[in-house]
Amino acid sequence: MTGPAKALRPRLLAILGLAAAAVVAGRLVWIQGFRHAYYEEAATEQAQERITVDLPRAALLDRDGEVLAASVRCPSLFTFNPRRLSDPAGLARAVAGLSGQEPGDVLDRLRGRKGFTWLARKLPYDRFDEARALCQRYPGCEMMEEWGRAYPGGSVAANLLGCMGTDGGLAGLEADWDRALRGGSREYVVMRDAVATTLIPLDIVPDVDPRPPAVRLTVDGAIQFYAEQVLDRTVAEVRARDGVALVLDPRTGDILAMAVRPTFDPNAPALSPVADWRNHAVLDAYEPGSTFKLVTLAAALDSGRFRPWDTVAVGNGTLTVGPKTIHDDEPPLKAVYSLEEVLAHSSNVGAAKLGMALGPEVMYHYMRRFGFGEPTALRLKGEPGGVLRPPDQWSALSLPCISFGQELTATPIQLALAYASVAAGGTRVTPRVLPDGPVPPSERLVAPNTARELDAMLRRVVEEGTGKAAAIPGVTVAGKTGTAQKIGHRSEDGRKLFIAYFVGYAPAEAPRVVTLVMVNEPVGKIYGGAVAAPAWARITAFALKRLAARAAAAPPADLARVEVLK
Amino acid sequence: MTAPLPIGGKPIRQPDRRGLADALRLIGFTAAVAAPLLAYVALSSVYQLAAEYRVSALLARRQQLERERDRLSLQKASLLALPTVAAVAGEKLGLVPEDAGEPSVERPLEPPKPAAAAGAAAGVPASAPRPAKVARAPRVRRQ
Repeated sequence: MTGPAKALRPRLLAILGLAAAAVVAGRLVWIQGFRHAYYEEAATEQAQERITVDLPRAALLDRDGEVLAASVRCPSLFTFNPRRLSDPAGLARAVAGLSGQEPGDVLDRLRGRKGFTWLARKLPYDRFDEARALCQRYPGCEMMEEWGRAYPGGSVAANLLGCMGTDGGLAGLEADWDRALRGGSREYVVMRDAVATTLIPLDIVPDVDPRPPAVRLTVDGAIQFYAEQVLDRTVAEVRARDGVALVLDPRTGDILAMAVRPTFDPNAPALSPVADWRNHAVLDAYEPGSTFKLVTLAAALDSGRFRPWDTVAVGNGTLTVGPKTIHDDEPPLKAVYSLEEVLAHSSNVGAAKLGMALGPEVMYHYMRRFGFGEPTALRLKGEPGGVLRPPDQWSALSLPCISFGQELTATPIQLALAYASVAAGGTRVTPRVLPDGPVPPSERLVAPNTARELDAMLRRVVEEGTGKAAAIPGVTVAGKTGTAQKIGHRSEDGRKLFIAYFVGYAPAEAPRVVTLVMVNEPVGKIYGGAVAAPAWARITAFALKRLAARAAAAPPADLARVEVLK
Repeated sequence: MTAPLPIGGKPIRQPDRRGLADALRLIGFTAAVAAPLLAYVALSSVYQLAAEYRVSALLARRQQLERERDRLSLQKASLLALPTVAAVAGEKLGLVPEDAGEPSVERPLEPPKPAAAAGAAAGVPASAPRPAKVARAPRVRRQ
């Protein structure tokens, strides 16, 4: 190699070195300067994960501020990696013992999985110590807090309130108002290790208490509890399939009590069949039976076709329409009944003749006006309107049968609201479970005079008719019995099945409560006057005393309002 | 003072002994400034760490107290819930619900004693003033 070439070599190497350095520097500038955001995002995604934790839900209170449902911190158990557990079978048994799950189910969840795995979520709030002890006994089992739900009153108002699952409401108001009751959620960034195992910090519960304002319901805890006790005894006494006791304030539409049997414990809903969660007062429609005669009489009087003293020939208590013969339950006391007596003695023949005289269009008009055939303003999910076919689909038998409450169905709340309208002087009563809910403008259903005449008739039912057992000493009571046969249904031993009702209001001169008692498929005693009326009297007497005591006491502190999103 | 360099003479490198002294002075000065700084930083870290541990412990304690508050609030609500009250009233006090809902005593009470006799039994002279408020005996439910 010549001298100049030899001298050139270091320069060449330097140039090459510089070029390489320039390439590296350029790449660095490209990565760190121009692609910075991309690589940062990729790195973050690889090392971090976002998890969402539900915040506590709004508490549900009765009208006096007593807690019906509240959110509470609950222990949840999990493992970062089931494959690292030393004794999965033992852990599964222990977790099952704590949570009520089947040990096999827990073990199945642990087998064949790697990474974060839940063992048991939202255990009862008073089981923190047991959960912590379990974690110490089985290395690899971890505990964290989640927000759960507790119902201090147990099954009180359970069918109205509903219950919660792991991820939201399962039934009742908890499900219907899920979105409104939710306290929102918060997102947390958690780290993942080299094998992508999520590492959740155990103190993930936020430092600030983020509880949303409580929601006050119109339910009166004492009336609710008493109604449930009376209903319990009544349903047990006649071995009924189910029962409903509804108490509402006709002046505001406030639901004061909504007792339903059978019921369940919302603290442990899985221990009861799902059928027991159902709110029969709103979600199920039944034949209203003779309680529906109120609508027939309202149509007769309000249409101007009849006056209370007008008479109907009931003969010997039978009426043949086509192939079918309609009977009165009891032979009539006389061959001719006034309209008042038709209601007082609950004459099917009298009601059928009235309905036939009015015609299908008039009857249908008044039925719709009283709210039958469409869901109530409660607008709970799944609330039916009941079966009410338009007149063009009626058979020759439909009109007489509908006139005394057969061949149609109505929910107990619809029926109670019809009587509430009469108690309210003939105006529509809109039900509500939120005391701060909007009150719609008053709408007249029947003339005030018609309401007064109906009121007098309903009083007579209790004074000298089928509803004597509903009398309350010292209180004027207006109401109606009902015994509806469940057409097309028979018990396993071939018995006919009935529904016993009593629905009415008190005190009749200034109604404070409208109460409905419905007992479905009683055995032995079947008549509304014998099964439902005594229970009605007990519940109504208690409700009146309770409201009187409440009026004398100071009003409860005003609680925050919550807009319920539908 | 260095002697002037003669014309045409070559400079002779002589060791400058002041440099070492300057370096030592610099090191000393730096150490004097840095030592407190380092001590401050070290101690701060220790204190910060200790404070963080303390904050963590306090947060954990707060969480535990909140959990306890929740538990007690719910326990209170459960104890005040009517089913619990009714159970206690029935099992411990012998009260049973009457038809109209008023509580009454299932077992018959002793007939009320006259005020004077009752007072004497309690060691109160007959002339002593009666209590301002006398509790009424609950209604007896005859079985």
